[in-house]
Amino acid sequence: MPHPYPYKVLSASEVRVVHALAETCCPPGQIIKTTPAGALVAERVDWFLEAAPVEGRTAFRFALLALEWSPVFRLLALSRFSRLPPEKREVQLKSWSGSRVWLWRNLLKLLMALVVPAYYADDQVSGQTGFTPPGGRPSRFLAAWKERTGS
Amino acid sequence: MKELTSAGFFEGKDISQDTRLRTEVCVIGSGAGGAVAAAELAALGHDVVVIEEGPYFPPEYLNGRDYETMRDLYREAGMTVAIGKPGIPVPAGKCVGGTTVINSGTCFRLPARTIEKWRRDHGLRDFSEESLAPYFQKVEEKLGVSPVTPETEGGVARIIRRGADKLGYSHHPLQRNAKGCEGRGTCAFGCTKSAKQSMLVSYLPEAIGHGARIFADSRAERLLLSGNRVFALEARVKHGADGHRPPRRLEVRADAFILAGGAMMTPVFLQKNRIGVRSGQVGKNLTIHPASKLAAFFDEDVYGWKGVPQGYCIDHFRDEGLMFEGAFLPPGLGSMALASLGAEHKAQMERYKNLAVFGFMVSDSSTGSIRPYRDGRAAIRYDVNARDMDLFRRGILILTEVFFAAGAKEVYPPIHNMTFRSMDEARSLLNHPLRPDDVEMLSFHPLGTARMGLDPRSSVVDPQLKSHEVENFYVVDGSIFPTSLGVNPQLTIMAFATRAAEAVNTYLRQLGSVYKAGEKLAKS
Repeated sequence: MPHPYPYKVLSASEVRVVHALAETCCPPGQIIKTTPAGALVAERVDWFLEAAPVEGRTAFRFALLALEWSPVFRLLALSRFSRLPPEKREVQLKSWSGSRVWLWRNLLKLLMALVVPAYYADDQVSGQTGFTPPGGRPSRFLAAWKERTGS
Repeated sequence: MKELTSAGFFEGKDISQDTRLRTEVCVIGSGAGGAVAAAELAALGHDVVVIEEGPYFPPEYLNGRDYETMRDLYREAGMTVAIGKPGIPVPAGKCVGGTTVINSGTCFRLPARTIEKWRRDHGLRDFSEESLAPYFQKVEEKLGVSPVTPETEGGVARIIRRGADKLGYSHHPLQRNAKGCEGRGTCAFGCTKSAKQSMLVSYLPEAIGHGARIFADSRAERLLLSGNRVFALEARVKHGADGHRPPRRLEVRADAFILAGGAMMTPVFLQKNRIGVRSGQVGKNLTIHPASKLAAFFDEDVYGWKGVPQGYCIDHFRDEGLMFEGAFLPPGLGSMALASLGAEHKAQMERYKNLAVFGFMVSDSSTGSIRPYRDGRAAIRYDVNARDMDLFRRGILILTEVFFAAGAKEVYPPIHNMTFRSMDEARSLLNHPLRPDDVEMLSFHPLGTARMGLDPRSSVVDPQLKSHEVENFYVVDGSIFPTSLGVNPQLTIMAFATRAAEAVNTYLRQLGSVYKAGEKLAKS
């Protein structure tokens, strides 16, 4: 039985927001059916952030916090982002992406830049687009994940 | 434990205690400038030590995976950003081999009009196409620089050729430093076949073959000066694989020092060590070739990842300051090329094989600056000016036209929430000047932050790339160029490093620091 992945950067509540964001950005499709959890998105983001500069990590965590509470502060809903249904989450993301406020647009850009590629970097997911990982060399993330979870 | 006096690659874990080395030439940085200078000088019989801040990834350890390579081989995990209007990511390599390990391998000689500009505006009359040709030729022969073959140019090149032909634009395969390329498409994430002739598989092994020692995980910190000569470099060595153990101190004493940290880190090091600062030019005059890309959907299968991602160009508008070059990415980072969200984005990613992506870069007249943060990182400031924004608008329209001429159904410009379904729609949506924040930009070519020139009051190094202020100190990287080049700079950096190595060799011989076979210098 594998252990739960020991997150090194993200807290449990931050992992919940990453999951919610990934589920909104990468919903089940016609061809690509792997879920963000199945693609180890939160784990991959955490592993990436371990190597990121402190400022990058801080900015990412701030962006998660802002996203989580934004629906409440903007009176879009009385619930945090991670507890909204997927369609309302998408409305929230679109309000940031189309915002005139530089900060919202750029916070979303930062979140998407780490979370969405983490999903499509998974071999199973990218394989469903027709892409084949080049050279057949092993993933360093998966090696770390296996070591940390005892899988 | 490895013997530190023998040639080879050394990692932080190989240095178990504070260490002092003696050598003839100490090179700081192992990218396009440092590796070439090191190999040339080692081949001339000099004892060379290379100090590299980043880790050593043997070629067989490169796996071509975008997300992982970004994390492990890019400076600040690829999160380096130039602050300004707009914020522009400036990805650069931080590993043995520098950015050459993670670039596209595109090679251009220094354009004649750029040389002319240097001669005219900066008084650099030593330079001409003829005088530089032997250095370019030497590098090109060593790295097997040749055009991308039809077998490896990939599906996006096929589309660009078709569109550019219809519009009468000049286009051709790019020249690259690759030998035996199979078009695996991972150039920017470490070539998994070692076909791309990055410094990791070309000049650095050659330098080692001539006795050089290359120290990874070692960050150059401080130069020790006596009068106007440097006599030692102090470096901090990340010790142990996890980097959590206390760092070791590495002191390298040498007769000549070559700084090749790249245009981002070189000014940081110079400012920290107060070298060249009297000119007022250290960290100034930054140009970055701001770039952008467009994505387009086709009915046909493109399979953009099969082939060289940057294997083709449209150079029709080069004299205007616009170069169009390939920019395809694997699905991981490529997913960011599409501005859509949620289910729409997913549906588009499911058609990834129908997607073509191509980019362009602007030969910028905008300039920025670099100063050190307290923790030693580079604080980059850069604003795009109105002239360059006009070029962005023009570049977007030209590439949109090429895509539609090639049969695109939809084109996604690098402008938020915008999709073009026809050329008329593109013209009407872009019938006004763009603001910098409107456009998604990237930059891969920081240049100019320690520029060369004749006058010590307005330049940091002389045309031989020797410091105006310190007798035995040279700068050999992209920071020395007085203007934007307008083309990918790696080949020019290598050619200038080859030329600078001759100057360093002459200096060492005048100094009497001549290495003779069988008479090894005391190395520790």
